[in-house]
Amino acid sequence: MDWPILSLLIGFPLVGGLLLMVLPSNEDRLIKISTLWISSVNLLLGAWMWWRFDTSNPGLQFVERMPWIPNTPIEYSVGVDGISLFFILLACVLTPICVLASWNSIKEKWKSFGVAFLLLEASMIGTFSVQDSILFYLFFEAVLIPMFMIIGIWGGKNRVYAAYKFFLYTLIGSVLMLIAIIVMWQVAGTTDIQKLQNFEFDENLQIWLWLGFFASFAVKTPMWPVHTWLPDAHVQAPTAGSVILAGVLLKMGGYGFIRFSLPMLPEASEFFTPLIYALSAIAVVYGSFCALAQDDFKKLVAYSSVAHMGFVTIGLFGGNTEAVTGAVYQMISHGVVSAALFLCVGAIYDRRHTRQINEIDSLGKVMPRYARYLVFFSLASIGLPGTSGFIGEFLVLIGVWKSSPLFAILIASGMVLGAVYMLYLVQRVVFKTANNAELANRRPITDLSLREIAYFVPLIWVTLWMGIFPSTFSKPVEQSIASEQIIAKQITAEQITAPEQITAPEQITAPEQITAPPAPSLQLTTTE
Amino acid sequence: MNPIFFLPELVLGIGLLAIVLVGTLLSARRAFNLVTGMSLIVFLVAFLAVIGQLTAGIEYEDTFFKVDTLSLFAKAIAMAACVVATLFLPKYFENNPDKQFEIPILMIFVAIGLCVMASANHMLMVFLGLELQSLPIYVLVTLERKRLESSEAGLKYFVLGAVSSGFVVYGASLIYGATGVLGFAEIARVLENGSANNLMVVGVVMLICGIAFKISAAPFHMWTPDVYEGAPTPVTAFMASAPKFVVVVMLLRILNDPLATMLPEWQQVISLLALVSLAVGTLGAMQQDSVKRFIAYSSIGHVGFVLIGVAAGQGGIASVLLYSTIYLVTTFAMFAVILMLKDPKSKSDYVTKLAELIGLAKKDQTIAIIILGIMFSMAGVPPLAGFFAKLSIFQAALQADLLWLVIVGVVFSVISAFYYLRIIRRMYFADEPTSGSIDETLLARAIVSRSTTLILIAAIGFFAIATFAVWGAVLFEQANWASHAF
Repeated sequence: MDWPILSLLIGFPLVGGLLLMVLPSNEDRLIKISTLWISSVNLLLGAWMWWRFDTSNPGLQFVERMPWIPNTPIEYSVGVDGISLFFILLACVLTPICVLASWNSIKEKWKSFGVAFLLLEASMIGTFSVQDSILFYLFFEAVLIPMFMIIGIWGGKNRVYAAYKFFLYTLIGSVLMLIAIIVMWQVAGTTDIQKLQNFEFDENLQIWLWLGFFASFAVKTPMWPVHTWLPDAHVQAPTAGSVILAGVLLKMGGYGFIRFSLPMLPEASEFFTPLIYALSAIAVVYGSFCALAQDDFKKLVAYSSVAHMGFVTIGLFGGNTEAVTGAVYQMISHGVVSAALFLCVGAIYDRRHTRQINEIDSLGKVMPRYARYLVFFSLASIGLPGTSGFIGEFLVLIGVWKSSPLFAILIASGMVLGAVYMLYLVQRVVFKTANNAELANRRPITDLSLREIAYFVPLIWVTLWMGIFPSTFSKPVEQSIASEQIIAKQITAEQITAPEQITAPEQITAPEQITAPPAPSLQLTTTE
Repeated sequence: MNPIFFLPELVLGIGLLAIVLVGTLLSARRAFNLVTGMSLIVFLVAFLAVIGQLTAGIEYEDTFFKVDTLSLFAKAIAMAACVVATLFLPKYFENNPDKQFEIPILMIFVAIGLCVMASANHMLMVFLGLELQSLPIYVLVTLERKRLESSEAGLKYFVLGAVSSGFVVYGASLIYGATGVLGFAEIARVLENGSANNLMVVGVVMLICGIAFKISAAPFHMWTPDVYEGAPTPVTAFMASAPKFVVVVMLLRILNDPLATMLPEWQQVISLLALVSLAVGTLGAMQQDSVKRFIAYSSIGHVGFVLIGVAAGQGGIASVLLYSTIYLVTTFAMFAVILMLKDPKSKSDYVTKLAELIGLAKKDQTIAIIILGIMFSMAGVPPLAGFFAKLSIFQAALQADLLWLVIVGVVFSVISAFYYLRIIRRMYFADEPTSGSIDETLLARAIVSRSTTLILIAAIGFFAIATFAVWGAVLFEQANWASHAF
């Protein structure tokens, strides 16, 4: 029999976190090492899953099903496909990195911190692997508890405000999603995500359901204008909190769009596509300008996240394989790159105790190794070819160009602005050098320690790998997107509005199949 | 008439007589502990009797009394709740001058009243049960005669309680006027043959109002904060648990058994009560700084959720039972924790201000984490028990096409999250000293005096809430089984 690998991935940090609770709270070192071990073993489990993952199979793998709540269709079911695979891996990779990053910077209550982080990891992996909508909501929301505590206990001066804002914003969105999920359960008689994807909801109902999901995912992504919790949460959260927030939590919104809104509510998604386009374009441009205006290093990175997530949302609703694949790629890439940028912010904050850009300079001289990493990740964030950022944004641009050149130009301006604010940042922080006399007066700071290098280097490798051999990542994603009929249905609808494209009648019947012959290749041939 | 049908009631009655005898023979001081121990045993035996009836699959019905799955479920929960409530007594009354041996005896009286209510099959039994459980509680509330608040609370509760009983009797008599019968089965038969006239509707509304008072549904909630605050804490814990639970069950039975055909009429009333309770409870709790008043208002809010389930009619019964049971467990865990927090300034007083919880996480991690779990559960955040409770309520309400009520419930559950989080913030985030609004001397003034029983209750409660996702299927199954009584 196969190992229940996904349950292990969820259960291991969960049980580990609970066991951590019984350790004596003054044994800091023991607690740190056990947290690191637990999360590293989970990373190995994740790697093992990836190794066992059959990239030629677009459907769900490692499926486990168990009856759960009696007299309801709700069951415990998990499974992973090409889309969720990399999000799970992202959570597995970033958790040990966060533990390492917090090694010295979290000074009190390390035990609670370790417990919170492991529970957070369990619920993140849970969110990406469950195949039941109620269970999805459960994990999606469970993330709030540890994150609220992480921001609230270990955050900066204004942490309580930020923690509240984060919690309440997300909660308001999520409860509307809960109503939508329950209504779907009433109408379709099932909570299984696969079955819901094959259920045809009435078009009027779809609009309302879509809005319910949108409330939750838009806050989580975050989309303009409900992004305002993000800069607060990022600035106040401890480094590890920001890393996880940017690296994984934001992706839950985009993941939700792919799993719920697009395949389950295709007509409504089609109907709201202009809205998404408009909001995303605003997010890209507005987020970039905000980032440009920031004096605070961390806030700058936070606003750049808003802009990058704008690419993601516009790509998800782009209506063709390139755009959606690009959006997912961009999410994974952003998960790595922005996490690394927040780690950079954290590293400098640990040394200088400030995040004000004008108080930090001469890093190229004082911390040459750090400067190299910062420049590298800045370039990746801009989307330099050869780094992961390029592939995602480029695919999104191609995809969006096909449906609307105007919006493609608008978001392309975001790429230019991205270069502006990131390079301007690098210029001020790294290359602007104070004179020697002044430098001599400052308290000397050390360059990156071995512990810090240990978590920067793997991230650099991943970024390059994603940039140079994108097919490792894009192939499973593309296949699963195809089988999920995210685009199949949309294009069908599109073709109805654009009659000159109707060539193959199969497309209208295509939505009926799940795993079978990829409708996408058909799509591609017709659109190209 | 086979005594097996009345086994729990008989156990309680006989036990009561024996305990009164023992209590009067001993000196007041020594009697208390002995009587508490004995009543604990009586409750346990009564609980086992109910479980015995359950496993034997007993069903019984006559004009006045009915034993079915719903009543057995209610009795089982009520007896278990009585056991836990009795365990609260020794710690609180350790050094209390008002340590009377009558306290546990009065609780047995209440328990008998609860059994009568759970099995009521006749309007007279409804009234009998209500009075049998109310009168001893009036006395229990005034136990600490020398404390002004306690006497005040008792008097308020008594006067308002008497009025509400009047409502119940008046409603029942109007129903009698309209139908000519009082038995549930007969009422149902009469209603099936002809539609309800105005007299009947007025009677039902008055009956519901009287019962709403007992479960402190707004706008009949006025007594709740004062009585919760004035009563000795174990009594508050007791009256917030078993009696409310059973009254809700009785309400379910009245509405869905004899009055099932009048669903459109009473659904409006219940929905309105739910709406007002949610608003009053949620907005009221926001202002509170007293621990017990806070719990009182939050309980009004929770009654609002319960009433959403009640409004869903037949399909909502299981969800109401589930919600009430989970709320009961949560309340007990909460009170167990509160009884362990002492205010050092006054010897006998337990922690009274929420502000005294500031910085608790530094002092006692175990207690802080238990409160954390309770608060997140009450806010309805998954994966804790409170989420499943709300989920089942919302699901039932949507099935009954009460979308507007669900939206109201969801809105208030978000608002309520705000003040549940505030308690967590006080315990963990330790930021309030800078705000200056709170008296500095209050900071972390509460001292923890642990007791094995209480920490065990709190820990079991916490564990039950936290791992509900794992074991909850059992409760779902039981509640569903109980809901198919009629």
